[in-house]
Amino acid sequence: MISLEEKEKELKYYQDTLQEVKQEIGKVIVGQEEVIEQLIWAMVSDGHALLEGMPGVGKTMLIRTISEVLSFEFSRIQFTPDLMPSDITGTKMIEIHDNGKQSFVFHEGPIFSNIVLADEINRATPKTQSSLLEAMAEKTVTIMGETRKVSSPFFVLATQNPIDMEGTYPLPEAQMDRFLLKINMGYPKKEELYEIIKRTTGTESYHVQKLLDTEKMQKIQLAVKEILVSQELLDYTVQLIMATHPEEEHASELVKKYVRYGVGPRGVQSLIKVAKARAFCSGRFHVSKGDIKHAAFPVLRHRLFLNFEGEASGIKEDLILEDAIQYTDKVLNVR
Amino acid sequence: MKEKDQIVRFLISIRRKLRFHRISKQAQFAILAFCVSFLSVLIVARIVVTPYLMEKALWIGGIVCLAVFLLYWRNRPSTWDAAKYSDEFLEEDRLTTSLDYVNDTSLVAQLQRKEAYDHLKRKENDIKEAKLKHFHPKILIMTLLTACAITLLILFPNDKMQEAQALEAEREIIEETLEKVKKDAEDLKDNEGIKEELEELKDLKNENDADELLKELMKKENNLSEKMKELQEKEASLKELAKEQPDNSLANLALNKKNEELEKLLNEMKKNIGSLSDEEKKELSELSESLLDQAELDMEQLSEEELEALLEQLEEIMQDISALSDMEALQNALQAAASNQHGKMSQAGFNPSKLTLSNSNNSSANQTAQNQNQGQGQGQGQGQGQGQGQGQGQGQGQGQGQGQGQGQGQGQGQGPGGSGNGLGAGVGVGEQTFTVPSNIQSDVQNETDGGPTGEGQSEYEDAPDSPTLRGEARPYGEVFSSYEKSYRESLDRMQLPSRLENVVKQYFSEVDPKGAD
Repeated sequence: MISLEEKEKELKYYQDTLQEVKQEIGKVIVGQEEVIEQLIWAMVSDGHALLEGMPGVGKTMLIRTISEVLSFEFSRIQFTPDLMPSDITGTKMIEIHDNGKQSFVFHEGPIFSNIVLADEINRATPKTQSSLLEAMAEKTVTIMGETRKVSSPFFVLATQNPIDMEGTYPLPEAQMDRFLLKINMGYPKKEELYEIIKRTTGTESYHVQKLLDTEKMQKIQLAVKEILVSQELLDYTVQLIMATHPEEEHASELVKKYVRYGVGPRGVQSLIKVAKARAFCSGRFHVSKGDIKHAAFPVLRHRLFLNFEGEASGIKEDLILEDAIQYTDKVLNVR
Repeated sequence: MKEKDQIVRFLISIRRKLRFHRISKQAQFAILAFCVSFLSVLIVARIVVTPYLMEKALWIGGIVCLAVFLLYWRNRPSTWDAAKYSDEFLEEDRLTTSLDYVNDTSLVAQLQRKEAYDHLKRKENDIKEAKLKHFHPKILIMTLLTACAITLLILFPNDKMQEAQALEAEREIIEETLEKVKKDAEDLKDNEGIKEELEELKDLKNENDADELLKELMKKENNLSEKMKELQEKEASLKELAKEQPDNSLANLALNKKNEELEKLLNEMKKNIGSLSDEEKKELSELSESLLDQAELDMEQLSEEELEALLEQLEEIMQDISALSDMEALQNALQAAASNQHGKMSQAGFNPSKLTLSNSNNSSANQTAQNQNQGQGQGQGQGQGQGQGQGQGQGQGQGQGQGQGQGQGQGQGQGPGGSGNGLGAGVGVGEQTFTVPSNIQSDVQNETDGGPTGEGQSEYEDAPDSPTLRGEARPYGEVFSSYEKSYRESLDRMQLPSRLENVVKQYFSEVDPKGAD
């Protein structure tokens, strides 16, 4: 039986390690602290993340750096329209042995890694996308009737561009919530651009330390699950989710006007998981309202489906979420 | 465990602080709620006639106040509120989570409490010393404004409010009168002969209109008077019979109010109805002739049933006759209640119906005089009336008078200028006119024959050329001046003791219409 001091020491160690991971990534990636943090939340919550940003903002670079900091198996799949599901999952091939006999031998695809970078996921056909999405949900892959488990921990970090959508296959709305987070990656700030130039155009190269292995990550994931959530915060979270349902009486005005479908039950689970991750990363053992509010944007933005009016007006999901949060604060009289 | 206890102890102290703060706010709010509800009642009273306005407003205000406090009690700050308040200083919902998991013994829960307590130690003084706003200027200003509005509405009542006040006064008069009637009825309830009459008084309590009540009282009194008149006639006949036939035991027993003996005798007669003696039959025959106004009755021809019915009838009449004094007491009580109500109604500015007054005046020729200062008849009279002094003040008097022509007695006057006691001649002026005996200043002398001493009615005779009218209605001021003149002249003639002189002077100054204000 572990003592209180030992437990505290252990948890503090993990919390500090995560801080170090963040700093280590920061050695390569300039700025984007929030994005880095959100990616860490996704991983410690045992979830997948979808990165959306303009070309060249460093999405792929960021994920590659993360895989370097974590001593995990990493594979990258560049999604193209001609990519086949077997290119992801792997397939059985006939192999001729030395004795002349032939047999089917399974060749693992890139999905059998701890971190899978699905670059420009919306460029592959839905069939190919779904081979990945199945693995994300079930953590299993079925090849020729044989089901195999993927590695543990297993993270899919996908990227997509919000522009240049011609010839792409946007992810089905129903499958979007397989991603725990949808992270918006914006342009770096002016000062950050100077730093990027300095780092990338000179002769100096940056190397990062490997800080976490899979075993530690699994322990962190377990520790995150232990984080406390008070009843008040559960009420708050439920009320927030209800505020995204346009047919509900307690829905915010923007939700009623622009939202077709609100956040489902998987959304509320994800919100609490990510809030716990944020609390853990902040060195706390309990979730606060701030955690819920901060986690709400990346967790819920891809779970809101706008109606025609919303699509036509070009309103952002984040704006609707902000309205829902304010409305929830008002309903529950939160200062 | 240490952290847990410390956190709970801290939260209890903060809870106390919050409760004190909330109760001070709630008290201010309760006062405002009281004022607002009071004001609402006043506003409603300006639209709808609302008697007992103040009582109602106070009750409603009180109930609202109570409701506010009940609301406070229901929503009084809890330990959880204290944790929430403290978290505003500590941030990140530390204490609310600690409180939620206060009994959780898991390591993470203990670590959370430890972390929360570490933060709390740093901020404890800030939280405890943070000033809470005890005075709420908005509430206080609104209370002040509402109070001003209430004062203005009370100071300047509208027609509806005045109407309500009048209604209130009327209800009070009704209640007082009913109370008095009830009390009198209670006092008289042991009198056997008037149970039926007392029973009839019970339906008076349903009357809500003062004037109607007065009419009803007068009606009942008139009915009683009629009955008494009839009985008096019967009594006179009985007396006559008793005088003519001193041996008539039944008549004598009835006259001497020996009810028990009378009843016993009659019961015996009923039992032995078939074998009544000639003497008894004769007595019964005489009684039935005298009391039932029957022609000579042949007792021999009556059947036993008819005889029994006759006995019953006679018994009833004789018992009623013996209860005459009780009826008189009841009549006096009713008369007093009616007069009292009449006076109060006039005083309160109501206009009691003339019909009522005339009923009252005609009701009892030998007993009561109302609105006139002249006693009537013989024996003792009771005078009661109201007076209005100098056109502004109102007075009320009650007196007992005796004698002929003039009633004399104690009077009591009340008016806006004060009240006083004095000698009065049944002082009472319901209207501004007085019925004055015309012979006060007449040269023609009336002759009065008092009749046998102590019995009968006085006889009255005018001299051949005297005026035919016995009295006339004259304005009060005129009557007063003539009386005052007589009094001055008589003062000059008579050597009154100074004590009595002062009493007379005081009386005239009290009833002087010029000095009534």
